[in-house]
Amino acid sequence: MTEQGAKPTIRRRRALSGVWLIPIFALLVGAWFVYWDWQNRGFGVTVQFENAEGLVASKTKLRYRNIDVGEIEQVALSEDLQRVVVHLRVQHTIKDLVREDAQFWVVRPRISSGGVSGLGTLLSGAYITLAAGDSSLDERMNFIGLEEPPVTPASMPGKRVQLLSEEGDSLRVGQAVHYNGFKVGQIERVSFDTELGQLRAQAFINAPYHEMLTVGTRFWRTGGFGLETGKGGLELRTGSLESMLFGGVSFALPEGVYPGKLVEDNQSFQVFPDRNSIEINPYQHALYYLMLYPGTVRGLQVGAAVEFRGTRVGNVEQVSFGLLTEKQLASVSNAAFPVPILIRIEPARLMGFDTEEQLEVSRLGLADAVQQGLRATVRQGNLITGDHYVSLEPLAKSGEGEVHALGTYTVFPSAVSGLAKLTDSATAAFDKIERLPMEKTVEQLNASLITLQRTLWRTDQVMAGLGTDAPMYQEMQQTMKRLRGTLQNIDQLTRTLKNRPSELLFSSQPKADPIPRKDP
Amino acid sequence: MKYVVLVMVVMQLLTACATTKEQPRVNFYQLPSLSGTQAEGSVSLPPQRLSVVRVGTTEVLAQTGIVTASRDGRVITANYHHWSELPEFALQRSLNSCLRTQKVRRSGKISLDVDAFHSDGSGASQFAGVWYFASGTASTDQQYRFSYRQSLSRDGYTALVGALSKSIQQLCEDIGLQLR
Repeated sequence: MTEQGAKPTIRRRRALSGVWLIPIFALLVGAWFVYWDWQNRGFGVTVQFENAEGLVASKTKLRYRNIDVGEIEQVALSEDLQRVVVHLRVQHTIKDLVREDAQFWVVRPRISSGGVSGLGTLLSGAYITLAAGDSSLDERMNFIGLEEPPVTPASMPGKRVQLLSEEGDSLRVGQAVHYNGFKVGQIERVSFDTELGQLRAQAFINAPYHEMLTVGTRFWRTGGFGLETGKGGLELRTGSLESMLFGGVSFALPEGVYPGKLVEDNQSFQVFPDRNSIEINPYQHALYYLMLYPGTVRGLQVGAAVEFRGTRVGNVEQVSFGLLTEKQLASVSNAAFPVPILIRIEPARLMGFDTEEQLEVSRLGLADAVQQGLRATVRQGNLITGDHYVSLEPLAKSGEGEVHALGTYTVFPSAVSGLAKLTDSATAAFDKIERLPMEKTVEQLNASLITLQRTLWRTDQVMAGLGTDAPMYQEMQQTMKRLRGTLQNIDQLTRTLKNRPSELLFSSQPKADPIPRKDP
Repeated sequence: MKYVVLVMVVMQLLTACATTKEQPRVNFYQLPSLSGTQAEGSVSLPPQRLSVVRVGTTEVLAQTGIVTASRDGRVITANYHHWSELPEFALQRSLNSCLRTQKVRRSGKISLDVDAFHSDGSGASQFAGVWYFASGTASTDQQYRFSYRQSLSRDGYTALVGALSKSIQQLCEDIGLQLR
């Protein structure tokens, strides 16, 4: 028989044993370790270089301001095998610096025109450094590394301009940019623009000097020294010692040039060979026209002025039949055999704005003026030297001609002015005078002058002989005085005869003279 | 008869002209040199800084007879006592030779207007007038009045000439002082 005993007490056991606290704690600690590792491990950045000279994985550091902020994890070739991809592990602390415009480059010993750098890496080995980007920009994890250290940090305030030079060896990276002899920037990059066939240099102008860059600004090369001869004798031009030794560029606003508006980033400027070139030709934008002048161009030199109502608007670039091909010459030649003259018109000389927009406005304005009768003619500027210049004048009737193209040139209609014809006649007259036997005439004139000079000298001698100090005058004076004495004696005789007429025949004994007596 | 009268008149005239009555002798006087002691031979002279270029006289002095002008205004010209040349020439030469001996700083020309160069009839000589100096650079001439009275040392014209010569020497020295 089953004893129904006490009813068992069924207790519900706890779902989780306390022993589980141990692994949970271990898990949490593990998780914290993972987080801590992740936090200290940083984030990955890849930078591509042309080669990996001096870069070693797990050894080469990433430094910012000479503080280690990361390390190379891996160095590998790119997929196309043309470059090297460096995987960097970067600390989270500089996350705000690794932005779109950040720049990475390898610091290693370098010797360049800008100086010697990276000597410290001879012992420590190369390392990678970066120029911080703008924190307002987006993050970026893949970069193309610089092969040379950047001359100017990307975040530095200022403005970049493109300088174009026709002389390939004139500009180098690191050369200074001066304003009034003060260094305000430097050249960052130099390359050759194959389209323009010119050297292209990127220069950075530091703030606040970048605000002096306007469309009227002109750049010119500095360096070495220049020796010029002029009316005032020899003139030696030198820049600062730095520019003399290392060269560079300077910029300024030429006198009389309208400054215009401030330039945008990467505005292009032509680099002139020297300061004088700017003074002579301070404008960048110009219109080129070809004149087919039917008159004589004697006395018209390259560089002669092109004037409009007495105001210079440009200059003569070239006077040559070589401007046109044989076919073009044949097409324009007629009984007048016009001479091709290439002129350069700078609208900014009149309008003040040296811009592309102004150039286009001027091009249309000139075309309209030609339709109204404006013509180019050659005039004599100086009667003594015979220098000529080109003058733009209304010499034709409205609607008689227009600007038209001839090959690559734009032809500006030209005409011979009435005054030019008159001048030609005068020149012919002068030529006739020139053919006169002037030498013989001058010789005869000289001989006549010598004779005249002698005659005048003799006349002068004669006149001197009649002066109060002359012996002849003195003699005359003495003679006159003696004559006066004689007349006095005659006067005395006359008085005697008047008183005693018989005195002539019967002289009387004259009275004795009074004897001067001694003072009693 | 008419011829006889004519011959007698001519004879009378010739007789008158041929008189043997002795006439008084005419004496000529010359102003002595005032250039001091002169060495024999030719001696070079320094350039003359002052020179007398003109001497003007009154009408009565413009003849060779030596003049006596008494205080009552009478003027007598000697008939037998003459200067060897006109007084103005003699004065010019004498003053020029004297001025060479004067040490003067200024240079120029001197002219004289002589009012008196005679005996005053009372035992003295009188030499007076005005002299002018022109430097050539000054815009106007300088004028000086002069008057010298010199007592005669003895009677006679020789003493008068000597007294006048002393007066000329005095004028020369005064010019030297004024222009020193």
